[in-house]
Amino acid sequence: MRNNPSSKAYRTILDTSRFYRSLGVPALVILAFLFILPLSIILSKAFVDSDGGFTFNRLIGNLTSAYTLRILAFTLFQASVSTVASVLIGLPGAYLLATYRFPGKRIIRAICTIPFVLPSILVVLGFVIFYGNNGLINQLLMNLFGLEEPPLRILYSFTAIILAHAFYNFPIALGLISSFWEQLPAHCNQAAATMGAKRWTVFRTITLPRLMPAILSAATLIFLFCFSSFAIMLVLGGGPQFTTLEVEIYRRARMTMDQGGAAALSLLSIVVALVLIFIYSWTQRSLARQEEIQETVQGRLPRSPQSLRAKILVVLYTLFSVVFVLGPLAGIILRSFQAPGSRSGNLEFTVKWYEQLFGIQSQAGSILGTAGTAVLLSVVIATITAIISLIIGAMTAATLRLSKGRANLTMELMAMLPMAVSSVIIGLGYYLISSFFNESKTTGSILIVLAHVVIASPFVLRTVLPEYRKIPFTYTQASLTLGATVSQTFFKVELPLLRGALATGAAFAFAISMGEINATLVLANAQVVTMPVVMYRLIGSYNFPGACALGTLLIVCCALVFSLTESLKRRPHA
Amino acid sequence: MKKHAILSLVLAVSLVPAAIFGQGKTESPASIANEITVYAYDSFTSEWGPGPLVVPAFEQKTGIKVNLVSVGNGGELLQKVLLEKNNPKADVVVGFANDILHEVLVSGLFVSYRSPEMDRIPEFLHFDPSFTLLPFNYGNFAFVYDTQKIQVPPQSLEDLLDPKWKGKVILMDPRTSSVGMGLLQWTIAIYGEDYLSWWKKIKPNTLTIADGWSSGYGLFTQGEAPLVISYTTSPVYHVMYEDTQRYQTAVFAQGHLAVIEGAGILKSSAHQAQARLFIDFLLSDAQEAIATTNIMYPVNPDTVLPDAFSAAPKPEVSLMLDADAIAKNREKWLTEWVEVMSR
Amino acid sequence: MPEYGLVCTGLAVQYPEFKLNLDFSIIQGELVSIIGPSGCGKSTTLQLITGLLPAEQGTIHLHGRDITDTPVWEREIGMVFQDYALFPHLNVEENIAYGLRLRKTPRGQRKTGVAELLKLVGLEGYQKRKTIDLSGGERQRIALARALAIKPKLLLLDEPLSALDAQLRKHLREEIRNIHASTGITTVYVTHDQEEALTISDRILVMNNGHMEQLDTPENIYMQPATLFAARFMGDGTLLSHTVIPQTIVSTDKGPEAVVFRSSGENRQIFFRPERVVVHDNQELAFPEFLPHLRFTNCRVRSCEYQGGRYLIGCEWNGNRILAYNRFRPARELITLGVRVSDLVEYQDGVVYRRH
Repeated sequence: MRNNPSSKAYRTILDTSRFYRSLGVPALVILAFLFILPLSIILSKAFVDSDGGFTFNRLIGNLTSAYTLRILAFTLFQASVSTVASVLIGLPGAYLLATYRFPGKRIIRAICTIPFVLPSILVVLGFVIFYGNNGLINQLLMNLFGLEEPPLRILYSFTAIILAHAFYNFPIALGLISSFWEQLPAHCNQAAATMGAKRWTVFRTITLPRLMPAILSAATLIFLFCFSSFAIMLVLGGGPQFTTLEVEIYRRARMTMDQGGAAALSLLSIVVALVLIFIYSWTQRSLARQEEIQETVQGRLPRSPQSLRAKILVVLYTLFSVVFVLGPLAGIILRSFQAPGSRSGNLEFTVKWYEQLFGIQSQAGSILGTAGTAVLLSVVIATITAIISLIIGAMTAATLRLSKGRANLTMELMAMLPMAVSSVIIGLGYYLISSFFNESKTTGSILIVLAHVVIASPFVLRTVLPEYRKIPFTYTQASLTLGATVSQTFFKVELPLLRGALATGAAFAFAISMGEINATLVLANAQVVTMPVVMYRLIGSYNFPGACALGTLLIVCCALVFSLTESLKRRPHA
Repeated sequence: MKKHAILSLVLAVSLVPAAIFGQGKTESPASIANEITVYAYDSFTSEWGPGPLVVPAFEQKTGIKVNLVSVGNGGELLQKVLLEKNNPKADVVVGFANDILHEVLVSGLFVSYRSPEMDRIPEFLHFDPSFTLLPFNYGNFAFVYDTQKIQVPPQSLEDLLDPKWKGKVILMDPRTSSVGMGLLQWTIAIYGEDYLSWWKKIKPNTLTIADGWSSGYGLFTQGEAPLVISYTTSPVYHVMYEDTQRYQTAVFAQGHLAVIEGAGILKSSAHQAQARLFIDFLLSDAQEAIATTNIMYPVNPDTVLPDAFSAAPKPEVSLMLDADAIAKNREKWLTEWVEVMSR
Repeated sequence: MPEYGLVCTGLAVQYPEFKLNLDFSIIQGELVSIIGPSGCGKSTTLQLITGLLPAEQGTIHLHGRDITDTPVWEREIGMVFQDYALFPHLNVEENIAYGLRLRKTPRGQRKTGVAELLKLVGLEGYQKRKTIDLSGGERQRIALARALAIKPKLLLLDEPLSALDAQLRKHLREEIRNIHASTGITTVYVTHDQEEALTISDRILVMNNGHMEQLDTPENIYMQPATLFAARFMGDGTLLSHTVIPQTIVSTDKGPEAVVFRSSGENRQIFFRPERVVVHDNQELAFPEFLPHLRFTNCRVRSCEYQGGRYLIGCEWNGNRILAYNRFRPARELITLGVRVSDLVEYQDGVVYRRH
């Protein structure tokens, strides 16, 4: 590596800087106490027999049973199909975003951030309202064609699972692939074209192979999320024939009290997740390397669509993403303003669900009206979570950018691990340690914030680290020679440059915290009542529209935060 | 120096919630002589559950403070007290259903208490002859239907197998839902060993097998299907809170499986007298509040109920499986059920 | 005794496949270029001087002060990076004032300082511009202004012109020269462009594979390269085995000059630049017979490149390749070439053996 001594030299000086290395410490401490510890407690249960002795038999028995293998096979199968579907839906969009400049571009990009942060309970709700037998689409079709029976039967089937997974994950494919595609130099395509390759051939032989790292990266991440999908399986899948590993873990841990079995399956699930994160990190690195190479070459310049076909494609895709993503959300919002008219049974416009939520209109015997506090509490917790996750994420990213080789990979895997371990497993861990804590609202709130930090900070890291790696080393060097200490450089140069990524990361952390329910329920024994907890309870007490109203508020909160951060970030560097 | 600054910043930020939510209790409950800690399932403690009505009334009547702690679902209650065996925090646990009586008794954590209120409670509700768990409300599983879609409801479990209900029934998974478990036991109570053939035949008529009652019933009220497994009392809610009789219970002459929920006092409790007072209160003064918020039948026949409860027909025949038999066969039933339903 | 600006003594670092070892001194106010092929350690040297890379051995003195263990931010060394490293989140003024702010310079002073520097680099009124809106040349000048703002004792420029086109490069190097003249700051200029090094420098340091080949004035570096490497790196030339001399030496009456060549040692070579070669189309060479010179007869013209104003002629002589400049394209295929003995440099084992 003699031809690039400068980057090596740079690392050497900053490597000796205790500042950067110490930045990773708080993250490590929090991770150790709130993630590794509970996780080890669960996993250790896999090796304990009924008399408290050490055994491998339980693990072996669980992992080799035909039932486990069948579940594992199905889990992998559905994740594969979901991944392929998500990538296939995302790919045309990525092409359009990378190739054309059009008014809908911003819309598509904005829309793509939405599904990722929605709590699954809300997605399920939205799907039922939108695609259900009595959903908006079916109602529309029935009214249009005067049908008696709902024509579309999408939900409660394998298709529904794939549809929901695609809803959640095609934006990941779209985002990752399009941003990479935009930077692909056009030279190679032109070169191939001069050699007589047709457009399709160019795509197949030149573009696709070069996009492969980005596609692989997106696919791994999507596979990871689908692999540990939980709520969607339970409600939209339509029955025990679609049992995944996560569902089985949940069932054993919370219903049949088989902690050992749950632990054994958790171990299996984590091993698979680890392999996936490993692949993901690896593809991310190869992406970063490619971007370094491409730095000097001009990327594609998006142009306005000229041909009619291109225009139609652009309009269609924009429409599609709007309907596909916003449809279910619009359904939730619509339902929150509807109520059956007294006696007539027809739906009429109303704000009574909101009035009930905030206690403006109270009903006999019903003790609603506490939603105001829940909204406030959720916002406070989410804000604190966002701030801490941001600090932790930025600090960890600073440490990770500098460490190298095997140590780096290990640390990165560690930092990403909470993203891969499903909230079912984390929740189980918390459940087991929660008996050590005194159940007061105070400790509950602190624990919830910390748990949310553990869940959210990997997402901040995932947003910040690639941007951090893109900051040229010379910026840091320049600052140092101009008289800034290492820490001054971190605060005055690196952090301001990361402003956009940090804002996005914070918004993600905020939204994740707003929607998180598993850890919240388990840790605070439902004493700390956040918005999703209230939603959960509303659904549990026959009040579907009330849940929709609260869901609408949750969507509004997240939308506000996202538009706030959007206005905060001007593009930091060209 | 910077390092310390950052560390203290992190510390400061993480302490903010402590300041904000600081009104929570900081002293350990056990140190207060006149306070009892009650564990209950989530929907009991939630804002529109019985908790917020029952607790203040009890506190006012007796002067005993109640620290009501929400602990997930019914099964988790037992898991929780078992986890805390060496460091017990609760005095009373509210919400064990009759089907885990065996496990509760085996745990040996609870103490028997024959409340004087039990004399007024009908014999068939005394599900625990040892009086370790005392009943506070009960219900019967039943199919609820949507009158907008169905004029003639099914009259029995066999009726549900009719092809005309194809894709119109919402069920729940007995592995994750107590209502789902209720239906499983109901079929066993009716068909005995042959219960699986009912399940095999109901499959085509099932729209979905939901994970829990909340999501399943939610789908039902959304109009996804006109039939759902729930409780005979479910229509009461719609009458009370929505002023509609659209949803009705399908009454089966063959009988409905009963579920009785009970409460018990922990042996380890240092406040036995106070705990007993709480149980007594639960079985008497609290009955109306519990019935109207849980939407279940009160166990105390003296309870005055709102008119809406006339929407919940009491079944002629109330069925129940033996607690020991349930404990012995539960895993086997579930395994067989999964085997049939996941094919 | 000149006053030394920068003195590096026994400066060394070591990587698995690369070793750097340097000793050199730069006089105050001097502009010294460091030149060498990529991977020779130029940038590493700059990193060592700035302190971005800690030295494993040796000492660095700046204006008489030992700065070997001084952290980067206290070294008072200004640096212009190859990619300029202008902070994209700051505008031109904030970029230039960055170092001043860190030094807690009062606001008013900062403003006038920035204005003066912008005037110096010829970009008055650019204060509020965004850096991403600047052209390459403008960025380069802003980077220079930013480095100068902290009034450094030493200015380091790391291939500052490499990203610019030829015309602009020429223009800017003149400007750098002028700015250097007006500020008088000791400057180290890293480049891989020989022409740039020759035109801009007071002295040039030629580096190869982690060590110094030569540190000397541009004239000496070009005409009297201390090593074969320096000779070949700094420009075109012809390298011949020493043994060819007896066949080509034109003996004169004075004789002795010729005699020196007789002691032909092992591995000895002669080197001369193409502009020192005299070309003749006919067999008669224009050198008077009394000037001792080497004469290559019957050279076959193999290539002839027009370079604007002159031709670079590549000839083959007895299996050797000889390069020569000439104002005309040779009319014949066979020509005669001549080099004065005093224009030869003689090397043994790659190191200069004798100059004439």
